[in-house]
Parts: sequence; C-alpha cells; structure tokens
Amino acid sequence: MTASRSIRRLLIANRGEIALRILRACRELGIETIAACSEADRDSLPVRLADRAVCIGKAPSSQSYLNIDALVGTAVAFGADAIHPGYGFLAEKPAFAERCARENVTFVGPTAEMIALMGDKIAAKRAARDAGVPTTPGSEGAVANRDEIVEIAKRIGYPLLLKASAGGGGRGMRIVPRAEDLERLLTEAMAEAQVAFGDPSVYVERYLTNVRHIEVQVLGDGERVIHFGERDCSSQRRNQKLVEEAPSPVLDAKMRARICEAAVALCRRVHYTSAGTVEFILDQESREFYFMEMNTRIQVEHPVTEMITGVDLVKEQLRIASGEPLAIRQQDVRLEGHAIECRINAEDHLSGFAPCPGRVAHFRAPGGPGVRVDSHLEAGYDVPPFYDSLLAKVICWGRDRDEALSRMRRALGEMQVEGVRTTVPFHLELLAHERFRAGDVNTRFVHDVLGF
Amino acid sequence: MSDTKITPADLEAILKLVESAEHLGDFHLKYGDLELRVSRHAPPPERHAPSEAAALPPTPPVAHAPPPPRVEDAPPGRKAPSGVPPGMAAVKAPMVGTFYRAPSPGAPAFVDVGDRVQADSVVCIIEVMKLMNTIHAETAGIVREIRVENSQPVEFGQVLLVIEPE
Repeated sequence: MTASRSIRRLLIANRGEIALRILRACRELGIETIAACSEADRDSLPVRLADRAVCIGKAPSSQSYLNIDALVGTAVAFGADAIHPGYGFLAEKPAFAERCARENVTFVGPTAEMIALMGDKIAAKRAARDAGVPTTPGSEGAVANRDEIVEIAKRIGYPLLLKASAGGGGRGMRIVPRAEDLERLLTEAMAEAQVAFGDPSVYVERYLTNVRHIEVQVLGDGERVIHFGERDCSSQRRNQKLVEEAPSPVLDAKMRARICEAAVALCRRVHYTSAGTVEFILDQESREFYFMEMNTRIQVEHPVTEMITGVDLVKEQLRIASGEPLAIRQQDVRLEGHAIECRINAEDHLSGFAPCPGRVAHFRAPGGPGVRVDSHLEAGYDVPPFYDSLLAKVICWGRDRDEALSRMRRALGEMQVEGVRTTVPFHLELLAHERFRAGDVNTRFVHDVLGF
Repeated sequence: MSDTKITPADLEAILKLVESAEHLGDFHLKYGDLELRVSRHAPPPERHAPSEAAALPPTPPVAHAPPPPRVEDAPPGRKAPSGVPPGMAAVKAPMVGTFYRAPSPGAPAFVDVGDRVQADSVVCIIEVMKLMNTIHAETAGIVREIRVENSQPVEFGQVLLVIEPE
C-alpha cells in the first residue's frame, strides 16, 4: 500500500442511481465530482448535480462508459486524481484498474491483480479452498478420464451436475439425478463437449436445488478485514437479483458467525483492499454453505447493509482508496433491525420482464419513517434504451422483518411512476406471498412458485 | 439552349440528385435567370484516432501537463456550447481530451481566425492519454472562430472551431 493519497477531485465513471450515490458520498467528504456521461445522459440528475460534467462519447456504452481511453483520458485532462467505477461497466475489468494505476489516477477499488484473481472462477475457488473456506463439492478442475469421474461422483453424491470445461449455452451440461443415470448422461455430456468445444473434459459438481443466496459485505484496508454481516438475495430471476434483505431470515447467530468468518478468512488471505462481497450458496437441505464467487466492487444492494449498520460503505471505500486505514473495528459493527431492498426496474413483468424505455411523465417517490430511495428518477426523465433498466432502489428499515416488510408494502403503494411500466406490481405480488412473508424461499421460488 | 425553361419538376429532379450525392458539399447552378445555390454541411463524420497520429513525434506538444481547470468556475452540469450561426460549419471534438492549437510548444498554430482551410487541413490536435489525434477541418472555408484556448480539456462533441464554408 502506498502512503496517503488524498482524493481532491473524482471522476464518476458510471451513470444512473450509482453515479448519484457516489456523488453524494463525495460531497459529504468534500471531494469535487466530475460526472462522465454519454450523450444520452447529458440531462440526467447526477450529471446536473455534479460539480462538472464531461460528455465522453455517444450513447452506446461501448463508446462511452466502456471506453477506457475516454474515461482515463478525461480524468487526466480534467485533473481528476481518482476514478470511481461504480458497479457494472468497467468496475471489474482489470485493464481499467491497471490503466488508472499507470496514469497515476487512484482507482476506487482493489488492484488489477485482485480483480483478475477473483474474476477467474477457478483461481478464486482455489483461493477460497486455500483459506479454508468450503467450496461446492466436486472435481478440482475439468476431468477427461471416465473412471476418475465415476470415482468423484461416488464421493460427492447425487444429484450431480456435469459441465463441459469450455462451457456455455447449456451444451455439454447434464443433471444426473441418480447413480444409475451416470453412465448414460456422462457419455452424452462428454460427446457433446467434444463436438461443441473440441474437448470432452467435464467438471463434476454436487447439484444443489434448494439453495439460498447469501453474501457477506466486507471492507479491507490491506492490513485488516472486517465484515458487516450478510445479505440474503434469494429472490432472483434468471440469476438477476430482485429483492435483497439483511439479516437473512434463516441464519442463526452461530451460522452467521461461520459464514462471515469464512468471508473474512478469504479476504485476509489475499490482503483484500476496498469494499467487496463474498457470495455463498446455502444448501437448505444440509445447512451447509459453499463459496460461490467474490465481487470486487460496491454492489447494487449495498444500502441494505448500510441501513442495518449505519455505516456509509461508499465513503469508507473512498477513505480506503485515499490510503487511510479502516477507522472501524469489528466490535464497532452492530447489526440493528431489518432492511429490505426492492429493485424497481423499467420492465414489464407480465411480458417476461421486457425492458420498457420511454419518458417518465410523472414520478412520486415514497417517503416516511424507515424509507430510503436511491434513484436518479424524476418527472420528464427519458429512460434510455441503451443501459440496464434499474430506475430506483427502495430500501425499507424496520425494527424487525415484519415491520420492514409492512413499510415496503406501504412505500411501494405510495410510489407512482407514470409513462413507463415498472416492476412495482411484481414486488407487491412477491411481498404478499405467504411463503415470502415467512422467509421460506430459495433461488428458484420466483420461477417455480410465482411462475416468472 | 437558353430558350429552354426549367420547370418546377426539373428543379425537383436537380434537388433530388444533389440530395442523393454523397460527397457533395456545395452546389451552385446558374441558368438564365435562375440561380440555385445548395450548401450542405453535414456534421463531421465520426472519427477514431486517425492513423496519422502514430506518425507524429511521440513527444507531447507541451512539456508539462496543463494545470487542471478550476472546477468551481464551471456552472454545475453545464452543457457544451454547441450553437453555431446559421450557414457556418462547426468542427466538433470527436473525442474527449486536451486541445492543442499547434504541433509543439512555441510552434505556429495550425490555423488562426481568418485563415482559409481545405477540408483536409489539420486545424488542431486532441491529445488523449499521450496519443495525438489530428483533427481536420472537414469543410473548406474561412476560420471564423476558435472556441477553445490552447491546452484546455475538451469534451466529446464540443465545438472547437467555426468555419464559414466557401
């Protein structure tokens, strides 16, 4: 770690609600902001609120928010000493962090090497194993030898998942329900892998169906790592999170401590520096948890953790990037009450969650006790067709889960967006479901039970 | 010849031809009493870092980095001034970067106000990450305005120069 390199002026290399979130953190810390924007976002709220806005290219992200030269070039030309990548776009591209370092611009995130390590699924899994963190039972890598696969299968049990090493598009992938199906399905998977990818080798993994998605928020300064408890993001659709809450309704104190300590162990081992999230799956049958991946960025759902801890994670991330050691100690982190976040997207949930770009004619934000809205939305805003459809995050806090859920139902009832369809009706349906209210869901619930 | 009249239909056909011609900037027709002048200046086409940039000397035009602009001076979220008087052609920045009027410090500027330029004349350089991108006039005419100070940062689409086509 280099010595203190205080941030005076920061380039926000993102758009929408996260650009606004970063701007707010900067303003509270007295950091000047430059909003990098595409032509499509010139009139957006974060661009108008920033100390300065610089148009960096045309609307398609490949010509703006994904253009490393333009972003780093803007930081250099306009005298920014740091870049915050937000999430998505270039946040987890090692080349971006590396370019920033080369141009002497502070990248608000971990090093390029760390991003690359965690971006490589196999290397990340190995790092987790080395840190004593449980990983999904399965082969250590791709296996081409049939007998070896049969041996591994015997060890880890059924159902099993066979996945082509070169993978993609479901080809060379088979779910094996029982031992007697292995011979036949293994032959198919290997033949398919050979034809599709020119390599018959497959990964063998325990296939888990009744799982929850649990992730742990961490901050590391390179010396110390602390955690801020978990978030439960089990309400998903096609691997897209829809609702996140903290704490998880299914973890007891002992289990929480085990998962959080596992996340810290991994980060400590790799000397993780910045904000990050370690994702796990929790098998509800065996009550075992397994490392899935680590995200080396601030996440969409970070406000859930902020609501129950009172810690501003983006400000902490900026302080770490400035070279300051963590000012918080683990024993200072208290989890209080319950928070839940609904992602409000410009999508029509009745048409397969199809994006609905267009002009927002009218917007009424919810408010009142325990309600936080992170959004760049305002009346007259044109939802551009070029980017993701996240319009707003509504986060509700309550002394317990019931109060948080009642507030969310109340808040979504107040919220009004006219001109584009949003996922508010979907959320109201989910919140009303008996099983969701009981906390009894898994990652397939939205699909299997609600039928989306 | 001159006793043949140009009908409205003829005129329409001529205009259609002019409109469909891809590389036509100006069209001037004098026929008897009729004088037709069509001036068509599309915004400069999108350019990527031109290959000539690689041929330029690797040293940046200034030895030291320009001082960063004072952010406080800029009104919040201000838009790049993009208005140009009617009939004038704008040379816009095809990329974000630092604007240079001369190939090197102390060297004469590529162009000054009042200079006559050809479409392929180099009018300035935009430096992005020490890569020099030469910017062409794209329009033949007289330079009427230079809107950016030397070594100032410019954003994508910002008007750099205003040219009166001729």
